[in-house]
Parts: sequence; structure tokens; C-alpha cells
Amino acid sequence: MHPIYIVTIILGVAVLTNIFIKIKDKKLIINELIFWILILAVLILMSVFPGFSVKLAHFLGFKSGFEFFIALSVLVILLFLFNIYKKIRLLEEKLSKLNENIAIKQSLEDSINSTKNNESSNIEFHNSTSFFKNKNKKAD
Amino acid sequence: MQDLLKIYIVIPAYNEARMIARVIRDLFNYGYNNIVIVDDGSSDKTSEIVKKHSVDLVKHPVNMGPGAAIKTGIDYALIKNADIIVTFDADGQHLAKDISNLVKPIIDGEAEITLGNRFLNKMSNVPSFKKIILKLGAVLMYLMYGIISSDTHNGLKALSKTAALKIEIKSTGWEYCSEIVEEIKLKKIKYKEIPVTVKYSNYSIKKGQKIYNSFYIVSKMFLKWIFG
Repeated sequence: MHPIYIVTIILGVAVLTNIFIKIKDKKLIINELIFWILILAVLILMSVFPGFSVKLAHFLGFKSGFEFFIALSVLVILLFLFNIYKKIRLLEEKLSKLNENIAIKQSLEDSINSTKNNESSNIEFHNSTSFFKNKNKKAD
Repeated sequence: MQDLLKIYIVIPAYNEARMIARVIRDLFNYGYNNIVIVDDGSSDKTSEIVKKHSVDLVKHPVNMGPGAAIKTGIDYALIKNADIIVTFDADGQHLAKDISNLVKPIIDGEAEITLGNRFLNKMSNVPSFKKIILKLGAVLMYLMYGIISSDTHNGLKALSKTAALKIEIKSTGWEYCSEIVEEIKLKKIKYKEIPVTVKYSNYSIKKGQKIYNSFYIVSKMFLKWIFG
């Protein structure tokens, strides 16, 4: 057996161990489980039937099955990266909005409490509520 | 005319306890009394010092970056019914005397936004490395958005109320400056560049954007440009 297939089997065993540990700790959700099982299935198929993976790789223009697997993995990782980037950006926007709302409301409340004639401060406070409502509607 | 309009000065501040009082005094001396300091979650005594002056303080519970602070300040000024909003740095780099030139084209109806440009006069002592980075940034801005400006990352800007309502700042970091340029282009907002002086001191160089930070800004801009 070519050493590269031994490495693939070792990788497969590592993934399998990872799955068992996560199942034991109840840290794995069903989508993740399906994903890792698919990865594992591909790894096992490639090492048990190297001829098939080599044929598939050659058909797709790769020199070996392992090379094909690595290219596929890079693609999957890039998709994950894109997904994570989008999620972080969205969370950052939400956190920023929350931060802003709290800061402005607190500042207007402070000015209501500190002024004796607080009519204008009250109006501004109500203005802020409708201002944020309109902004959120626009964002949605 | 300037006296009749409500001009709000928005200053984002993060750990600026050493300089903020001087900046406020400079603005008061030039008759700008509507000042909003956005304390972006400072860990020093910035807020305590600001509270000693008759200015508005808006304090972020957590540090989010200058983009988020500017957005908060602009929204706060809009709630306070500002006619013109001027963004101003807290590290003492900007001069209050430049504000009147900056707001004039907006009052005269020549522009909705004015962008301060430190290269249009020879008064700014810009360090050479900073000059190169800023010029490269300007080329990038031209390639990405088609806007010709030699100083897109200048914090001194003025916005009319209508422009402030149109512009949406989503970036929390320094890349908000590029985002404003992008918004100007996308929303076809009338803009004008005004010569301003930027005073560099050891303090402002230490506090300002680092060279490595510009690479980070560029990478974030690219990601936003590609993925939206």
C-alpha cells in the first residue's frame, strides 16, 4: 500500500475518534455529524478503493485521488470561511447597533435627570425611540 | 448664517484623557458649543474629564472602534436636530479654525458632504511613511470606487442633515472612512474637498493608525468589496 493511503487511513481514524468524543460529550449537532460522517466515508472509500479514486481524480484532471481530496477540502474550507465571515459581520453589526442604542438612550436619560426643565430632553428621548424604529425598519 | 444653523461636532474618543479637554477648549474658543463626545468604551478617565465640560457625552458600553463611534455620534446629532454634523478627531490633530471652511460649501448649497484634505495645502507636517500609505490608499479608492481624492482617510468631515440620513456606516473600524467614500459614490452625494491642516505630534502618531493597521483595513475593504 502506498504511504499516502496509510496517512489517509490515520486521518480517517482521527476523524472517527473526534466524532465519538463529541457524541460522548453531546457537543455534536446532527448537521455536524452528517458532515463528518461524509468526510469519513470519502476518506475510507479513497483508501480502500484507491483505484476508483484515482480514476475519478484523473477524470477530473487531478494526478491522484489524494490530490483531489485536498483540493475538495480547500474548497469546503473556503466555503466555511465565507460563511463564518458573513456571520461575524452580521454579529458585529448587531452588536454595534445594540451598543449605540444603549449609549444614546443612557445619555438622553441622563440629560432628563440632570435638567430641571426637561421638556426638550423628553421630546428628544421619544425622538430617539422613533429614530431607531425607523432605522431598524430601513435595515430590515 | 453659520450662527443660525445647528452645527454639531462629533468626536469619537477612546482613551483620550490626556488630550480631550484641550480639544473641547479649542472648539469652545471658536464658538462651537454643540459638541458630542462618543466615549468608545475607554478604560481611562476620558468620560470623567468630558463630564466636567458642558458637552454631550455618549458612552459605549463596550469598545467597538471609530466607525461605530462615528455612527453613534451622527445618529445622536440627528436626534438633537443638527443641521450640519462635523466629525473631528479627539487626539488634537485637527484645528477648530478649519471647521468654518468645511461647513461653508454645505451652507452655500455647493455640496452635501465636505471632506477635509491635508494635501491640498502645505500646512500639515505629514510623516513620509504616512504620506506613502495615504497616497496608496487613495489609488485603491480610485480603483475600487472611481473617486479621486488624495486623502480619503481624514477624520475631519462635514455632513449636511440630508447626507447624514442617506449615509449608512456599517464598518466598526477605521475602514468607515472608505465606506463613506463608497456611499458618496453609490448614493451620488454631492461632495467637495476642502484644504485642512493636520498637526502631527508624538502623541497623535502614537495614538493614530499604525502601518500594519492599514493592511488590515485594506483586507477588510477587499472582503467587503467581494462578499458585500
